Amino acid sequence: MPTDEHSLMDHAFEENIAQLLHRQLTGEVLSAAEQQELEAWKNKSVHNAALLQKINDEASIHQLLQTWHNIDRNRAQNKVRFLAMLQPPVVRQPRLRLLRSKIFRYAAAATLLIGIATFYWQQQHPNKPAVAFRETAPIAPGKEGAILTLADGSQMVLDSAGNGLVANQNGTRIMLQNGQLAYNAGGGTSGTIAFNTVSTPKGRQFKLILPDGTSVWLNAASAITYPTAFNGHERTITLQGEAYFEVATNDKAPFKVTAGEATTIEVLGTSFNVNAYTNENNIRTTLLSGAVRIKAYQQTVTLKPAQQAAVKPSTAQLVVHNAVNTDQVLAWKNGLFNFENASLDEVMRQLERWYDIEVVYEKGIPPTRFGGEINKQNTLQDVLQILEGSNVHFQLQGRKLIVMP
Amino acid sequence: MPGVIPYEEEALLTAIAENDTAAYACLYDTYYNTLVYFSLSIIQNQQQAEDIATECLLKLWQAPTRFESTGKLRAYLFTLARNASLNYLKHLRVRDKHGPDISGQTETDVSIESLMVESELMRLVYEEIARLPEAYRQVVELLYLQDLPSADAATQLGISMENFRQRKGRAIAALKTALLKKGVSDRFLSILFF
Repeated sequence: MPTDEHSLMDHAFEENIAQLLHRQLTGEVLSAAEQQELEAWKNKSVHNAALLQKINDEASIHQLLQTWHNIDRNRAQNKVRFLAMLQPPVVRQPRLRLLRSKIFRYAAAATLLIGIATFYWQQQHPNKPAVAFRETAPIAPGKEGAILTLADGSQMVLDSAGNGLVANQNGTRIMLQNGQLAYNAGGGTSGTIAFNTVSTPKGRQFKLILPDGTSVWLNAASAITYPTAFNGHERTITLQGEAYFEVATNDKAPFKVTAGEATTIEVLGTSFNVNAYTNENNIRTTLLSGAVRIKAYQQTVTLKPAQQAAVKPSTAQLVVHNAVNTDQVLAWKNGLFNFENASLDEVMRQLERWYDIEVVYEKGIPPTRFGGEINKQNTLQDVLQILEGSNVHFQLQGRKLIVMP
Repeated sequence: MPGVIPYEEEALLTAIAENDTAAYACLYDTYYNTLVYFSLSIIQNQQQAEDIATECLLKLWQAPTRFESTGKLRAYLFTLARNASLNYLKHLRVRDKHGPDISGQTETDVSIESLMVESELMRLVYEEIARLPEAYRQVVELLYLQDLPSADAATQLGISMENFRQRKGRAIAALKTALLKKGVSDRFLSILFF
């Protein structure tokens, strides 16, 4: 305890004055006695008089509140830091030693005591997630795989195990080779156009080559629908979720991707990534090379490489970002999570898709931001351990991940 | 902003003396902002003030004491914060002996009592804002506390300008009703919006 005069006071007086000022500020009329009290306080020092003047000026009180707000914005983050610094009190060693040295059989009792103390400690401090998620069975990362839905509605599971002919659709042979799907137009002219869908569940990603030679990398929880043969003036496909495209050049038949309800991406021959998950705020098209034209909500923009078009369905807006970090956009395809400056909920949505988990927030979404890259072949537990370095905490219940501040 | 202490005074004081982590979380919620504000007013460096506030609370944990009242507890924390802040200024002056006094303040300029009133007052006023319904609070926060232009605030909320104007109008109306219920004039409102 400090020994100067301040430890003797309890500052109830200051608290009382603050309450009077607050009531006055919010427009209450103070009683005569209260006004007198404020007047006496004001006359007590120049500082008090200056403070009174300050809070009667709207611009300066605005500034004071902004100062407070800036403090409050860091509060949650610093609280986590503070709580992490509180070391648990040590179990009192001497007493246990005494029990042991007295009579041997007390040792068993002492062990039991520690057990009870530990149990009690854990009951009292349920927010010790470090233990909680590390004790759970490892959740494996996602892998290659997808489901192919043929024109007649029949479905088959595609994985790296089976190579060879998968199906024959109107003269087009569908082959599976080294875990990737390829269409072989086989020369035969077909009558009607059949549409196929390749979809990935959470925890799977997949690469396929379309009938025109275009390569598509499909991220987890995504689907692409396309004709088994491109015969017309346009090559039109639809996308849900996220995919990276390397489009085979064909000046006579532009390649078109429809994503969401209102976004169309027109391509000549180029590589680009489209992120159109419905639980993300924007449909983001990022151009790596060539040129694409985005149409959405009566607006049209043409992207240059390293530009990104963000279509926001909730506001029907289209915005172009320059000099986008394309490594970050393509990290998923290259086997990485790139969490550079990502918010916690962005990070969690990626983990949900790759580890097939459900994320819940115990107390809102902490405002943490992350950095760096993590290999997608890590188990979920390994990734969580890395993320905990940024002061977030996790608990696992089966495939439900609970995020705690 | 948490405003309510979920502890009875006596129970909290005992729990603090017994190194109960939950009590320290509560202590943090109650005093952290006020302590930072208080220290910041003295030293004019937010990051340093945040560290000082955290250290004050940590000191209590390391040497837990059973206080007679929360008033005494508060006085103890503010005294720690004052001493740490003044020490920091002294240290600055030593480091800057040959330059001008960058702190712009001398020890005698600092009135601890007046600052305590100011930080407590700010806590009370800020709580008024924190109590607003979420959608309105966001408007006040973006426009007033973060000083964003309306267009940017609308973008940040992901709504159109028209929508934003409507929401701002409704926020003002809701505040008026809330304040009138409390028997309060709309002086506070004029502070918040202009």
